[in-house]
Parts: sequence; structure tokens; C-alpha cells
Amino acid sequence: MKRRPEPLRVGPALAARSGAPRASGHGAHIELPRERTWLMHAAIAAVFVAIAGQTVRLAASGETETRLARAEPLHQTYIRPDIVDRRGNLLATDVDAASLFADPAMVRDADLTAEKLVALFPELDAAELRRHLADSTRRFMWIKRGLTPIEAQRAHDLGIPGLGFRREPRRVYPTRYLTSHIIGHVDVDNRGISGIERHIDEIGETDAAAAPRRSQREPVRLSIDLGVQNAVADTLADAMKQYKAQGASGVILDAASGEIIASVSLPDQDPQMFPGADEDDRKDRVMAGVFELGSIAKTVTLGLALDDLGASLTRIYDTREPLRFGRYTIAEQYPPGRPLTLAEILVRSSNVGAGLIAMEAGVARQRAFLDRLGLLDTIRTEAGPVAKPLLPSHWGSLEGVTIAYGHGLAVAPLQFAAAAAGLVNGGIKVRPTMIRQDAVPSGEARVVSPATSAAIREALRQAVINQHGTGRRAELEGYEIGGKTGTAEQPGKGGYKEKTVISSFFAVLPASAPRYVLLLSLFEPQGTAETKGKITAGLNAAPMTARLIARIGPMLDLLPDRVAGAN
Amino acid sequence: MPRLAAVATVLLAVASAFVLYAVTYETRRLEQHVAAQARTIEKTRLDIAVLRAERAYLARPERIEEMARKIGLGPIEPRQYEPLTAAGERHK
Repeated sequence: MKRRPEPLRVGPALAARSGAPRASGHGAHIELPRERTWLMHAAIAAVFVAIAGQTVRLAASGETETRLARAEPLHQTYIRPDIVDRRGNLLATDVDAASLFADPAMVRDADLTAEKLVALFPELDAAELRRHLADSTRRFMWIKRGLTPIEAQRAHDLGIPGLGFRREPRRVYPTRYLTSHIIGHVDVDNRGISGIERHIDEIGETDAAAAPRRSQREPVRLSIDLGVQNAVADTLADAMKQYKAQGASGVILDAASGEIIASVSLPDQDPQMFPGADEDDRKDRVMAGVFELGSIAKTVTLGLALDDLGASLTRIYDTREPLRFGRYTIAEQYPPGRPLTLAEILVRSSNVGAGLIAMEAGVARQRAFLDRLGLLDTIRTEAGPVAKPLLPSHWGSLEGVTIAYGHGLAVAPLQFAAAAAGLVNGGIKVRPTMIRQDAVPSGEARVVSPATSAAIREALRQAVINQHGTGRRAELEGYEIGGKTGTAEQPGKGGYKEKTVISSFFAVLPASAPRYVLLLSLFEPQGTAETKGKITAGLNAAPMTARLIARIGPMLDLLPDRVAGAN
Repeated sequence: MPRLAAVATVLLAVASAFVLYAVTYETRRLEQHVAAQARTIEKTRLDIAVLRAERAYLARPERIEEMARKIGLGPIEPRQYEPLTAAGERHK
């Protein structure tokens, strides 16, 4: 191949010249052109080799393609993993939705366009829209993002030039308000701004994307059980009607792992539809509100006596005389007229007895005990921070006594439930979590001894089955419920208001080997014929808890004893 | 002989050019096919997401509960449970 072009390229003139020296016999003249030809060949070959090398290099590295894609100016959105409940029921997912944009330079009649768009989407600001559409120097503006398929079709049918659609992921919540206060919500770019959605962003589980696609990540599995959540919401709603209460809350924790199985606050609403959900009577009472929960705090005081003071359940306390602190007198609601044992202080809900324990322990030890339980910490869950406990400005012996029976220290119901779970679960501290745990977290601190924990459970069970127990209306055949009532007068102008109370019931289920703790509260219940006009927790919160447990027991894998034993 | 070799090489070059173009076009066609398939998959996945959301919406507990109550059903009560052994005895 190389030889053949040679004579053609040399041409007649060169051929004649090369012919002449050969005739004259000068050998040196013959070598020179031949050398040049080889040189040229080598040079051309070198260039081809270089080109080939470069081609191979480009083909092998494939860098150019990526660089082009990155340089493209694209709108960024975020795709998120699904959120499911502990059984895998879908709570949140991304779907593909159309977003409407305009290219003002292509819009012919800004006034008419604005008018038609506002007719379709009344929430748009007509004047603003007209002004932006008339600005023909702009090439892009969003009209409305995350349209439903019907809205998108209607906008398309307008047939206005200069409008276009871009597909974007849109977050939807099929279960709506049942879990919305836990899950939170996302902004228009699909970034989490509250609740679990925000947590997902914080742990880096979202992916930036230019176009909607499905997240490849594992769904975020919450500790919530949707069925139980619904049963709690339904039971609380019924009880609110029955006892004419202003609100209600309920939280169920796994006693060992701290998983929040259900967390309900009524009245509730869909925060996506009603942005004003932070207002006081609409806030999440389980996590965002702190309350003095009343006598259920005696469960903690009992723990203080058993663990720190070395008392036993049979130790006698002389509760016959009211306690006096200056102008304050702390007396029994139902004076038994005889000294009480430590167990009876809880069973009969003795304020004087709880006060005596606090006075015996002293402020420093009481405070240290509450701190050890986690009642004074600022805690948080994956759904966000829990409202900070409200401590008395001065914690003297009077405050110590009132805190012992549930006044003067306000905590979020979730925080109390977690602390109480630690008291009854064998004595291991519990950290509430919204994420399903496959194993009980290890390495948590011990708060009380196993013996103390067992004694507390024994006393809580007595409060339900004893004929003088305040919680006897929580007794439910087949389920070994232990629990404590609490009727807390709410602070108002000029002291506590007797008729405005929070009635709560703290329950441990089953009492001998606890798997769950429940804390249900009714806010400002009224007396009814059924409760003989009374508003104490023993008459409303306790029977409500029994009704709830009858319903959710089987869902929580707890069958009535009669059946569970026989199988 | 060199002439024959040269002709053969040219023919080989032309032939390989055809083969190369054929392969290139086939690759492009396959690439388009793959891209189309990927789009279809993604579209289907998004459609599945919509259907799953729809299903979850329809199966939300408060809706099922309302419908169940309408046809006279209610939450199960503890007394409605019987151990399997008891059921066996009843049939004896």
C-alpha cells in the first residue's frame, strides 16, 4: 500500500530528476529523496497513531458525556423514600405531578392569560400574575406547581400560548390527618420541613433529581401501627363526646424499646390543608404541650420511696394529718381515717402520703431521681423536639410536695410515658422513638432496680383491682391492666381552677410482664349523668382506657388471658 | 503481488467500514431502545406509585371502619375469643 502511491506522487518532473543522477552514476543523490519519503511516511504514521491513541483514550474514559450532562442548567427537585408504618402500610409517597410554568416572552396577551388562569386557579394573585406575564424579558416563571391530573388537563385545555408543563415529584399522604402531625410535611421542592419528613432530609435519605423518578431507597419504617393509631383516635373521639371534653390525647409506647406505637392528639386536622395548626388548642398535645398531669406522678413518687429511701410496699405512713405550709394546706380528698401503707398511698391516691415521701427524700434527692428518669431533660424524637419540661421557678419543700402528687412540674405526656415506662419495664431507661426498632437498644442506663420495678407494677395492679383503687373502672376481664389515675386542676388566673381539669390514666399492660405503657388524657371533661356529675379520672379516663385496650389488645398481639393461656 | 495485497487491503478497508457503520447504527438503535425501555420502566414505576397511593387512600382505617360500621360490624370484643381447644370440645 505504501509502495504503490510513490511513483504517482513523485510526478514526471521529479522522476526525470531522479533519473538523471542515476545515469550520471552519483550514488549519493539517489539516497536523499528516498530518505525524505520514509520520513514523511513515519510522520504520517505518527499522526495516525496519535489520533488512534486519543480515540481509544476517549472511548475508554467516557468522561465527555458526564461533563455535558452536568453543564445543563436544570431545575432541581428532590425525590424521597416512602414512609410506611410498622406493618408496611403506606403513609407517604412521591407521585409524578405536572407543574405549570409560563414563558412570558411567548405570552401574547398577558391580561387575557392572567384572567383565564385566575378563573382556573382562584388562589393566584391576578395583579401579580399580569405584571409578571407582561414582562417579556423573562423567559420562565412558575404559575402553579404540583397540579392534580384534572387541574393539569384543564390548564392544558385553555390552549394558551406560552404555557408549558414540567413534571415534578409531589408528596402525597394517603392516610391524611391520622398521622400528619407525626410525619410533618415538605416544601414545594419536596424537601422536608417538619416532622419525620425533616428527619429524612437530616439523615440524608433524599436524592436530588432533575425529573421525577422513584427513590431506590428503602422505605422509612415508623414505629407507629396505623390500625392502633386509628383505634386510639376513634376511642378518644368517642370519649370526648361522651364526657364533653375539649380535647384528648393518647400515646402508647413499647415498654422496652420506647417505640411509639400510637400518638394521637384531638382535635386534629390536616396541616397541609390548615396551615394554622400551631395555634394553642390545635397543637399536638402529646409532644408539643406540657401539662401538670396530677396524681399519675405518684407512680414516680412511689419509685422514689422504694428505690432511694429503701421503703417496702408495706411500710406505714401516717397520713391522717393534713400537711401545712404557711397558708397552704395539703389534705386528702377522701380521708381514710387511718395510716396507709406505701402501696395504699398509690392505690388510694393519697396526696399527704406522696407529700410525706417527698419531705423524707428532700428536694435534692427528689430532683436527682426525676432527673435520672429523664423527666427534667429536654428530649426529642425523630418527629422533632418534645416541649421542654416546665420546672417551678423555686423548688423548695412545698414545691417538692406538690410535685410528688403531680402539680408544679409540667411535662409533655410523651416524656412522662417514657419515664414511667422505665419505671415499670424492669428499670431500664427508655428513649421514645418514632422509627421501628428491630431489637431493644442495648446500653441504656438503669433507672431503678428490678425489684423496685416489680413492686411498682404490683402497686399499679392493686390500684385497678383493689376495691378502694382509684383505677378500678379500668379493670378489663382477660387483660392484666395496672394503672394510675390523675385528675389535675389546670392553672388559670389566680390559682388552680377546680372545674377545669385534665383527667389522665397511665396504664401498664400486662402488669406482670409489661409490653406496653399507655397514657390517655381528657382535657376539660364535664360531669355527665354516667359519671354522676363528677370529672375525676377514675370515672372517665379509666373506663376509656379499658375500652381502648379491649379493642387494641389483639392488634398488639395480646389476647385475653382465657384464650392466650389455653392455646 | 504487492498490487494484489493493496487491492485486498482496500477491499478490506471498505468492508470493515461497512461493518463499522452497521455496528454503529445497530448500537444507536439499541441505545434508543434501551432509553425507551428505561423511560417506560420509570413511567410504570411512577404509575405504580400513584396506584399504591390510591390503594392506601382507599384502605385508610377510618374509611374501612366507617364502611364496616354501616354493615353492622364493630370492633372485636374480648368475649368473642375462644381458645381452639374449646371450639373442638363443642363439636364433640
